[in-house]
Amino acid sequence: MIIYYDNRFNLNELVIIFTLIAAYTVVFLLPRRFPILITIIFILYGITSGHFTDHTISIQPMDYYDVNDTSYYEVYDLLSYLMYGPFSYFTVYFFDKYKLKKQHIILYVIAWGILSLSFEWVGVMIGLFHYDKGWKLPFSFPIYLFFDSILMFLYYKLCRQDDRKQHAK
Amino acid sequence: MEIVIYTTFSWFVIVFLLTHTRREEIIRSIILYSILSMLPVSIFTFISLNLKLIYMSIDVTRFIILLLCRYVLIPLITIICINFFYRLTSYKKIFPIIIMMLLVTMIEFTYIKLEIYSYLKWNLGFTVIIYALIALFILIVSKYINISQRKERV
Repeated sequence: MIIYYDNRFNLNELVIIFTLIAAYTVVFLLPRRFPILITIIFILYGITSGHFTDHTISIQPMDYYDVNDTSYYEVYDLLSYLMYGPFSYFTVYFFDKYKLKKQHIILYVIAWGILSLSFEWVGVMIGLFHYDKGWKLPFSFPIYLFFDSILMFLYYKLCRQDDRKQHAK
Repeated sequence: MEIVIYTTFSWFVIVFLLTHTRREEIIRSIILYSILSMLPVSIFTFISLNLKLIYMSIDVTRFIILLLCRYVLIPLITIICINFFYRLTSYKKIFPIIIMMLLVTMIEFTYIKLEIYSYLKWNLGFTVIIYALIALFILIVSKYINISQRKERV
């Protein structure tokens, strides 16, 4: 069923544009820690996971929630997926920067899960997400834990493996 | 029964990719997977949801098959073919691309047979054109990834 929530350029669109500009500016300003292709992988990972989740549980037959102004697939939906990219990059960036160990992953992933949930709550408040088809905010928490854990696995496979080789040499 | 066939085929493709991917191909494969799991899905969601040219079934079993095709079969078959494209030389390079197009068209054909998709104002030819353009785009992206990989030695 197609629902129209609003059809004006308002807070949700503004927040998407502002977050995109701010987050990608921070990505470019931060000192580089990974080779460019690895950086692209971490950014793409966030975008892909957001896209995958929305195109699995927010379309029929699941259709638990809507993103942005209508149930249709909009340009701002696409832009909202791009917002996830820098956050997955920041997740691995700070893990690498502070040289955290494997034992810290559980707490680290939980902390990012809570932070992501807070951002999502803001998203619900400003009309970026519409949870009136049965979805509830806490349902997203295990999804964040799942995707962030895979991200950490990917980070270990792509980055820490090279570290080990350098130490071995 | 269909779900068993699709799950088995997905398992085969995953294992084939994992066992036949060389170390230097891993980074390219991950980047291509991200693109291939988003680009066709976005295009076909737009075509079905916004333009209403295709009707997507709301049956859960068919939806699971669709997800397997969208996120496992189509992206991974394309990645395997792209990897072989770069391993082969001269005229042989064309074979992985032909195989990829044939397999993807077959998958799309099964969508219609299993009533996962119903074409309202659409036909298989348009889908083949879209996949051919995506394949072209992927080949261009792969070329740039290979150049960057050589430059950065990752």
